[in-house]
Amino acid sequence: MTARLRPTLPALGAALALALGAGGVLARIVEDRFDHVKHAKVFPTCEGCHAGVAAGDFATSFPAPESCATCHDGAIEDRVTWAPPSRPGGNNLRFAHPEHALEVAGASGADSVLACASCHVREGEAWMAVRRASARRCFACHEIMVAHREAPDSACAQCHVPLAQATALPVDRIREFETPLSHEQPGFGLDGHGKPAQAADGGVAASCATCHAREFCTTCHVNAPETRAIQALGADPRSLVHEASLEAPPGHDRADFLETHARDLRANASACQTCHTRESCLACHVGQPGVARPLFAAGPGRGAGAGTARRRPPSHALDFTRAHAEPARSAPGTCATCHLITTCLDCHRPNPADGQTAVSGPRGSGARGYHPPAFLTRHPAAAYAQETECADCHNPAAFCQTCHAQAGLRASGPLVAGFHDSKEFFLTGHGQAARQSLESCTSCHVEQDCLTCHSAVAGRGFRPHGPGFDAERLRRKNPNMCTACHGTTIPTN
Amino acid sequence: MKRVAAALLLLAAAAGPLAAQGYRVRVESRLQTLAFRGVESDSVALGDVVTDPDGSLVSPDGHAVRCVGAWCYFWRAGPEESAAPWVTSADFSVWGLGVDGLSVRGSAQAALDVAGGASYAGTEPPVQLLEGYLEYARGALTARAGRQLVTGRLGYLGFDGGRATLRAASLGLEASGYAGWSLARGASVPWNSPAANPLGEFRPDQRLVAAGGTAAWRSRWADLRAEYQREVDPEVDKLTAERVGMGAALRPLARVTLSGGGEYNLAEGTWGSADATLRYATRTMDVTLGGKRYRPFFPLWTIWAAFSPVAYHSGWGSVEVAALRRVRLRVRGEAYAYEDAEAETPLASVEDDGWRFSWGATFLARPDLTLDGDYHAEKGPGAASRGWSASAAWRPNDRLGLTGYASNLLRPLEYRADEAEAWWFGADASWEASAGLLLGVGVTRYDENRDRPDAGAVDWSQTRLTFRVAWTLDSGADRWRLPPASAGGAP
Repeated sequence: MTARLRPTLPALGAALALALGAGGVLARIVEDRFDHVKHAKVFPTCEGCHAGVAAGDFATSFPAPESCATCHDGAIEDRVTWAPPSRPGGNNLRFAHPEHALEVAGASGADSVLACASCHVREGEAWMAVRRASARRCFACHEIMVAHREAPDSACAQCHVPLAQATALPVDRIREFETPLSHEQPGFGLDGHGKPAQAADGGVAASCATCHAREFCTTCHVNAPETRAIQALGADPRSLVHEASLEAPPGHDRADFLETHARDLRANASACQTCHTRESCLACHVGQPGVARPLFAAGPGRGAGAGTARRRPPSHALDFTRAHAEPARSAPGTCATCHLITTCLDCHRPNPADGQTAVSGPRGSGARGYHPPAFLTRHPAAAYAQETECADCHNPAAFCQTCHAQAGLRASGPLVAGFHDSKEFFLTGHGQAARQSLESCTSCHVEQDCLTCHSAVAGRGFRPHGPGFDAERLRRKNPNMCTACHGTTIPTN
Repeated sequence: MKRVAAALLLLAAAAGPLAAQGYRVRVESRLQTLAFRGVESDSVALGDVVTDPDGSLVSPDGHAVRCVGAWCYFWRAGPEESAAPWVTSADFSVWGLGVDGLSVRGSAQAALDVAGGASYAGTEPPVQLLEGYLEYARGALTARAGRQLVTGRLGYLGFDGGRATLRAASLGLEASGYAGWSLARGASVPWNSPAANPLGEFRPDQRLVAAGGTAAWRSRWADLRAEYQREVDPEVDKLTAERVGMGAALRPLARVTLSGGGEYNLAEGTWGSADATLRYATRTMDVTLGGKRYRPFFPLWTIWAAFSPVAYHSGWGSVEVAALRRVRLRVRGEAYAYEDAEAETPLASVEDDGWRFSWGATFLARPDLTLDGDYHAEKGPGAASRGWSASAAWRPNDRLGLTGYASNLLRPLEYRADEAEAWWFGADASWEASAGLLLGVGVTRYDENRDRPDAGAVDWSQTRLTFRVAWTLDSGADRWRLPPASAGGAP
C-alpha cells in the first residue's frame, strides 16, 4: 500500500507546498512567520488549518487569525499578529491542488499528513518541519530522473505554463529562473537556439515559452515580426529581466569580411536580417541607402539591432591618404560604397574660411587639410607642374584668377616687363613655358592677351599651334574656337 | 534650379517630423580672419630713374625697375586688404520618406566676407549648392535627379540633371548614364556665371549640356571601368568636349594593388592624362611605385587647345613603414620631364624637367600625444622651394584636441630677386562640447622675410584666427565619424 502511495503522496505534498509557497509570498509567511515545528504537538493534521487546499478553496486554505488567538490570547500565550494572505501566491505551474488531491485520495486514501509530508517534509525530519516542495519531488513522480536545470527542454511544459500566462508570478521569481544546460552549449546564443525554438506546427516550442516572452527575443531579433516562433510567444515585458546581448558571428572576424559581406547578404539576407537593421548598413553606406533595402528598417516590435562602427578597410592602412588618388580615379564605385562625394569635397573643394590646413589634428577634430603647411607660398611650382590636377578642386577662373587678380597678378594693357623679369627676353621665348603649363598661364592671362600676337586677323599672326594639333578635326568639332583667331576664314591645316 | 534647391532644403527642414525615417544633418560654420596684400604694376620715365650706390636702377621711391625704351617698369605693394570669410555649410541625407528606396541628399554652403572689403576668393556666389538630388533605388535601378557630381578618370563633373544606374550585383556589373546642364569644373556655378569669369575670358552664353555614361565591372580581384563624357554648347550646337576614359584596379594578391588608367580626348584627337600605380600595403608597410602622364584638358569654347599644350611624364615612389611600434617613417620622391614643346625660344631658356622629394616621421609619444615632422624640397620650371613642418597633437580625452604646429619655407621670391623665408606657427583647439557638437578655434602667425634690398620688400606678416562650429544630428546611423584623413590616424 505504502509503495502504491509513494507516487501520489509526494505529488500531493508538492502541490500543496507549491500552491502555498511557490509564489513566494505565502511561502515566506509560512516559513518565516509560523513555526510549524514548534506547533507540532498542537495540530495533529494539516487539514485542520489548511482545509481548503485540497478543495481548491483559497478562502479556507489558511486558518482564521482568531483561531490563533484561542491560545495566543495574552494569558495562555503572548499575543501574535498574523493574517492570511489576501490572494493566492503567483506561480507558473501547470498544477492544481484539487485534481491532485482527488487523485491521491482516490488512489490511496492517504490522509493529509502523509500526503503533505511527502513533499513538504524531508526524509528523516519531523512531520511538521514544513518546507517548500522542491522540483525534485515533482520529477520523482513524473519520472524525470535528472536535476531541474538538466531536464530536457521538452519537459518544461509538463509542469509549467508559459510565462506570459503566469501573470501573478513576481518578477523576482522570474529573475531567479535557472538557466537550462542547453543554453550553455557553444553557439546556443547564435544559431543554436533557432531550430529548437520552432515547434512542429510552426509556432514556438513550449520550453522557450516557459521562461521567455516576445519582448525577450526582440532584445536581439530585428526580424522578430517576421519570425513565427517569436510571434507565437505571448507578450510580457517581465521577460526582459533576463538579459541577452548580441554577439558577432565568427564569420564577422574574417579578414576579408568588409570586402565580402555584400556577397553574404545577397546569398542569405535572412541571416543578416536577424541582427541588423538598415541602420547597420547606413553607418558606412551613407551615400547608398539602397544597399540596405534587403534589411528591415528599425521600428517598433523589432530589436535595435547590432551597432556597426566604421573602420578602415585593410587597403586604407598607413599612407592611403597620399595613395588614394589613383584607385579613386580608376574605381570610384569602390569608394562610393562608404564615401559620399561631399566627403571628398571636404578636402577637394577649397573652403575660404579654412585656416591652416595641413595639420590633420586629432581624430574627430574635423581639422582637414590637403596641402602641406605654407602651401600658398610655394604653390607656383606645384601648380606649374600640376603635382595634382588643380582644376579638379580649384576652378581656374573663380579660384585662381580671382585670387591672382586681387593680388595684382593680372595682365592688363600692353605686355611689358614685369612678372617674368627673371627670365631675360621671356616674352619672346615664352612658347615652351606656355605649352608646358598653359594652365598656369591662364590663371593670370586671358585670351585677349595672347591674341595680341597670335591672332591671324587682328594680331601679329604668330602661329600658336604645336605638336599634335589637328586643325581639321577641331574645325569639324567646333569651328567657333577657330574663329577667335581666324575669323570666318578658317584654314584647314 | 533655385526651386529645386528650395524644395530640397524644405524636405530637409521637414525631416524631423516625418515618421519612421532616417536622416543625417551636419551643419558647420567656419570663420577665418586674414590679411593679404597684392602688388600693383607701375612705371616711371627713364629720366626719373635713379642709380643706387651699387649701380642698380631704382624708382625715386626705391623700387628696383626694368627699363624698356623710355620707360621703366616695376611692381609696388598694393593696399593691405583684410578679409574674414565666413562659410556655413549644410550637408544632409534623408531616407525612409514613405516610399521604399527614396532618399534625398544635399550639400550647400553660404559664404560671406564679413570684413566687407574685397570679396575673398570662394565667397562668390554667396549661396552655393554643391549637391542636391532625389534618389530612388529599387532593385537593380538607382535613379537620381537634381544637382550631382560624377567622378572618375575624367575628373569631377557637376551637372543639374538626371542619372540612372543599373546594377547586376551578382555579376558585379554596373552601367550608368546621365545628362544635364553642366557646372564649371571645380565649382558649383556654370561656366557662364560671372563668378566663374573674373577676368572677362571668352565664355559660352548658355549653359553647356553634358551627357555621359559609365560601365563598370567589379569583383573581388579587379575593378574595370569605362567612361564617356561630352559637353555641347546648345547655342551653336557644337561640341565643347568629348572624352573617353578607362580605369582599372587589380588586386592579384592580398596586399598588392595595381591601379591605373588613361583618357583620350576625342574632340582633339589627343591622348590626355594617364597613370599607373603599384602598391603593396600591410599594417606596417606601404610601398607605392607609380608613373604618370599629365596633359591639361581645355574645352573647345576656349582657344587654349589650339595652343597645343604638351604633356609631362613622371615617375614616383613612396615608402611608409611603421619602423617601431610608435614610429612611422615615410619618404616620397618624384621626377618629371615634359615632352618636346617644339617651340623655338632662342632668347630664353626654360627648364623642361623637375623633381620633388619629401620625407617625414610620425612618433606616437604616448597614446594621447602624436608628434609629426616633414621635410620637402622641389625644383621645377616654375619655381623651387624647400622647407619643413612639424606638429604636436595632444588629445587628453575623447572630447578635447590640441594641436601646435610650425613650418618654415625657403623659396625664390615672386620676382626672382632673392630667396624669401616664411614661417608659420600656431595652435588649434577642438572641443566636443556634446554629442554631435564640435567647437574649434585656431590662431596662426605668419612671418615672412622677403629679403629684398629695395622698397619692394614689403611686410606681409600677419596673425590669422579661425573659428569653427560643427553640429551633427541624425537618426542613429552614421554617428561614427570617418577616420581622419591623416597618415597618423589609427585604423
